[in-house]
Amino acid sequence: MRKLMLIGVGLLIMTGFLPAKVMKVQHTVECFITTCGTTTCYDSERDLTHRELLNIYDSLEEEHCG
Amino acid sequence: MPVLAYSQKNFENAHTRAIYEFLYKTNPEQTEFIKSDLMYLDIGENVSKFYSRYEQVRDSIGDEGLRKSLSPFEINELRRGFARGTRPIYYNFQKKRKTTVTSNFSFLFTYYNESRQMPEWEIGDETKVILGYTCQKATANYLGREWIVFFTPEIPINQGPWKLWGLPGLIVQAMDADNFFNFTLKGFEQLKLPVPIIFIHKTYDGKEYEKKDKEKFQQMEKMYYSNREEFMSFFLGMKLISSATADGRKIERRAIPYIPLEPY
Repeated sequence: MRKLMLIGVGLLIMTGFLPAKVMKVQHTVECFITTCGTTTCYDSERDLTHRELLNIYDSLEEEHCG
Repeated sequence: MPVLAYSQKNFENAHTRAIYEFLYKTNPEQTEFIKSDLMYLDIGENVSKFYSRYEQVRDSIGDEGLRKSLSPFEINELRRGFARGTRPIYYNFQKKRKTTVTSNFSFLFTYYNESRQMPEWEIGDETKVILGYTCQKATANYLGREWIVFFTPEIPINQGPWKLWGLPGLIVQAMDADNFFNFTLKGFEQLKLPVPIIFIHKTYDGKEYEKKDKEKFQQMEKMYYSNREEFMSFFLGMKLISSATADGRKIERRAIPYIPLEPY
């Protein structure tokens, strides 16, 4: 039964139904799509706050979209 | 996610506000000013604050959006049409002869303190009328640039835009000899209602700004504009994975044009 559950969780992660956090990934990938269509992805050492995400987004807007 | 608005320190109330248009270049080869900002100089008994009105508006829209738990994309949409301004805020303490400069580079919020030196002004004979005030010319080599200013004894306040001060009247116009920067007074008022001079030293989520020495601050600023990728990695632990245009082409990293008011 336990084996079956583990296989089930594994399948859910692989198919994207469970978030990566369940897998205890320490790094987070954050992607930002600006209003001028650029996409920039960073590997972050930790989860970022809403405010931090806004600041990165804003600096990318300034850099890429003027 | 819970978001808390933390209180900031209120130094005192401003009694006077001077409003300047700030025109500047971002590359020495530009023949005309390509950027503009609207700067407020709020003056109190002991401290004055010089800051961008444009950034103040954008910040308040950002704070409101965070309070409503909007996404960064949604907040940016709300900010569309509101001009960007310059980020540093200058707090000049008259009696303590100290200046505190705060700014942010992406999500790194920081500040430095420095002692406030009086420029060694040479007062000339040339006069001109700006905004109805008769102004007199003065020049000084100050903090790495030669500044040419016009001040008016009709407003007996020894303050001015940015870090400029120490003349027997408000500085109404200031230009550098290289013609990279131009501050010109556009409005002056004695404030009837109290306007608090608020020291912004915490981020929206309550984190204190990081104190740096001036040299470190300038190094960070230099790297932020010259090599954004390295800055993000070194100071913020954000390693770039990819950056592409809308049609999928890789974006080559390049320096962002920028001329500091105070050369490094």
